[in-house]
Amino acid sequence: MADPGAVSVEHVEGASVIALRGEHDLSTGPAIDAACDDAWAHSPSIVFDLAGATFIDSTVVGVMVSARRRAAESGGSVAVVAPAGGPPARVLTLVGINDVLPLHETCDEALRTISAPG
Amino acid sequence: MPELARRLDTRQGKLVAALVAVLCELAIALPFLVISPNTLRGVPGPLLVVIGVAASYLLGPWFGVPVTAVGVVLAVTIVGENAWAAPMVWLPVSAGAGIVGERVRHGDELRRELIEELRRGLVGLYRDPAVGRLNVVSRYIPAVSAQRIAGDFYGAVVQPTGDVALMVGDVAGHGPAAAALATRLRAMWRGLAIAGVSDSETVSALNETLLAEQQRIASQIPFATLCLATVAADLRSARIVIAGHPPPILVTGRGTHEDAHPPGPAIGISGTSTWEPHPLALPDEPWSLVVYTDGLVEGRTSPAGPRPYGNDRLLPLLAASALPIGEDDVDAVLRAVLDANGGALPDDVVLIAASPR
Repeated sequence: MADPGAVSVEHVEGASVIALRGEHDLSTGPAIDAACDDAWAHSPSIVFDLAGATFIDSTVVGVMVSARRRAAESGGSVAVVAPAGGPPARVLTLVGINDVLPLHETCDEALRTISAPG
Repeated sequence: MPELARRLDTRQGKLVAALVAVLCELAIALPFLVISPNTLRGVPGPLLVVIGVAASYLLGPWFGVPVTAVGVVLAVTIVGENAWAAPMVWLPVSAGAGIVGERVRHGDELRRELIEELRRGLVGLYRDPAVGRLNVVSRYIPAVSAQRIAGDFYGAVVQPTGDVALMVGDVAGHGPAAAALATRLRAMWRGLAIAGVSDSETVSALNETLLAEQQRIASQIPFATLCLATVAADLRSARIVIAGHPPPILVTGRGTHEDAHPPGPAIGISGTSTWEPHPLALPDEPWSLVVYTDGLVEGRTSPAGPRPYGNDRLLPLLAASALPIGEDDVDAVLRAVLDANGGALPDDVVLIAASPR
């Protein structure tokens, strides 16, 4: 069945985790943007957790690329959780942003890269 | 209606239109003149507003807002001389609202025209499908909402060597900014392709253009994807360059072959990215090369089913097409995708099939 997209934000030490579940495209873009605003207000780093996302389109990829740019300007960083073989990982690999935004298997792994950059 | 509009667009026509407008307004006012004051007092103000708005809105496009307004004021003046017209204060108000409504509608029309013009700039539908030694069948399906213009674009040109360069691209994001950037990238690609600049250099130049564009304040285009497929003049091979875009699909009598070479990154992400062309051998038997934008495979698998439709479903559709893939076959593929989705797709779609002619 179609899975309507849901967005949640969780603030942890040093970063905010934006978790996307279900299907996300242009129609859920405003909700993701709002989550980003919430996240930026809390910390300069964001983890996009796409493990629960069943579908993302280029709108979502665009949000993450823009977030990476913004984080770089403010000394923060952006990490993405997209388990290999899953639908989000396929889209991100095709667009080729895994070169600049490495994909992580779990949220813990992603948070470790944020707390220990480089 | 255009014929009528042309006839009205003369001095005499305008005079007649103005007279008709005034008569129409008088006709609207007439009931208020003849019905008894007591009856009129029973008429709710909002109803008069509706009448006034409807009159301005309906007559505005043909007779012009000023003429309509003059007619309304005239009507109000006539009615106003009969001192019983207290509810008539609603009429000027409603006429104003009608004029605003007309302006909004005019704005909508202007926006629609702009969107259409941008779309034409993006895709340039060719009357003659012949491009060099290829026949290029192309389709562009706008997204479900006409106001949500996307940044899909494509082109086909013959290079000085006789090679035929095909390009399809997709600017991430929607709206006039994405569409305007797409038209610029398309024009730039076209110039470079006609001049015979190499595919790698072409993509690098487009990358630099997009990176420069992102430096502009208020530019919100994160990246764009591209697929370049250049078919050699001898029709024996093609050169493929992919920047974050779905790869081309070669359809032959033996089935489909999706180019599996690892794609280069999308443009507009990094200034150090490079793109290398890789060869695709073309058979002696009939073939068609299909390039498309992701909107084609991102719809639903069934009207209430999950997304995406996916290449797994697209490939058998193409394999079942008669070769070379022509207008009817392309339409059949699009129909199947639209049927699965249960109607118009959420994003724009470009689908191109190129075959030797």
